Amino acid sequence: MNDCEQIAPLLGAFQDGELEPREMQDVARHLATCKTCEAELGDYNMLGQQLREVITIPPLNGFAAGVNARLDAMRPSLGERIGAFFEALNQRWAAAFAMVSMAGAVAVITALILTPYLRNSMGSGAQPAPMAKAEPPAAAPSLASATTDEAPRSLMPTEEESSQQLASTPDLNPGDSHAVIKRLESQVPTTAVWSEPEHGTTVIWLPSDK
Amino acid sequence: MVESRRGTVAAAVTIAFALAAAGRVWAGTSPEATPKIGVRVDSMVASDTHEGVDTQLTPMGPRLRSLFSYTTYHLVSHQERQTPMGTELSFDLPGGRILHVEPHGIDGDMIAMEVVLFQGERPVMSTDLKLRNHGVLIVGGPRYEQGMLIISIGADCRCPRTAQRE
Repeated sequence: MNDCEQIAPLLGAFQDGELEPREMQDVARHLATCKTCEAELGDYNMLGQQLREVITIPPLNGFAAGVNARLDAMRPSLGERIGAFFEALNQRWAAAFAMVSMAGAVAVITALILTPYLRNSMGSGAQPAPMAKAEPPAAAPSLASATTDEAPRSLMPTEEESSQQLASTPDLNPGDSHAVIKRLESQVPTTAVWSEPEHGTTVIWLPSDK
Repeated sequence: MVESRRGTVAAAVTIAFALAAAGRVWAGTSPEATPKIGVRVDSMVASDTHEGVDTQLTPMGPRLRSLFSYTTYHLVSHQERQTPMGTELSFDLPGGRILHVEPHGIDGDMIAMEVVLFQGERPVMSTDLKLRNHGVLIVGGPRYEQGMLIISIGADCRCPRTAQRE
């Protein structure tokens, strides 16, 4: 195979600059020494020029507007868009419902756990019911008003006994004392009650007769 | 796609109810729901024989001296028990005495209880009081042997500031 047979099929691509660099180099070297192939390449050039002259470039005026019009024609209808909107909304609602359910569960669990503490804190803020105090306000040990010289009492609650119970001091805050006596009934005629705040101790003294 | 959404919602609701039920069960069985009260009862004899404070009563020595003027304190018995709220404890004391203690509520850090002292079958003293947690109530005065019987009643609750009210 001579060089012209190898180069001739490449002339068209060479004309269009589509060969590999090495092939471009080989073709160019061959053309420099071969008048036949050079003439054939000239024919390719002439053919290209004539084709370009024949082809008419379409007008581009209104091209963009035409594309937009085509796109508008492809847009979904209003009903389809509304359907798509509600479908997306439905997805959001489903997610929101799941989140609300989880939040509700967490709230219920938190309430269940904290209820005893809340109940206690609310209860401790309430005013205590009137009740007897076992300790005198003074720090020093002293006889409290529980001492009585009356006859031994029955343990059954009676009106007489209620007058023998400790004086009620509801104005004192039970939180400041270490003992609050609500009721004290004794068969011992001289019952004494006192407290030692320093050691957090309350004493009920029931002295024997003998 | 719709099916998967329904599955997600159903799973969320199921988990929510399961968590709520588990929380309810947990809250119902927590220690705070049924606190136990420890009750300590020390029976002592106080007299004026100048023998000092029994070595077993050493921790209580300063307290006894600040409350009373006796020169001898001798421990006769020490009893310590636990009870759930609302259950009565019975302690046998020297001289045929019996002490009943029934914790029945907690108010803040105070333990509400009823204390009844019996001489045999005869009730001698009955009181309804609230005692600060770890506080001490002393019931004394009855004669025993050559001195005075002193009964120290302590109540302890291992529960937060808390849980139950009367």
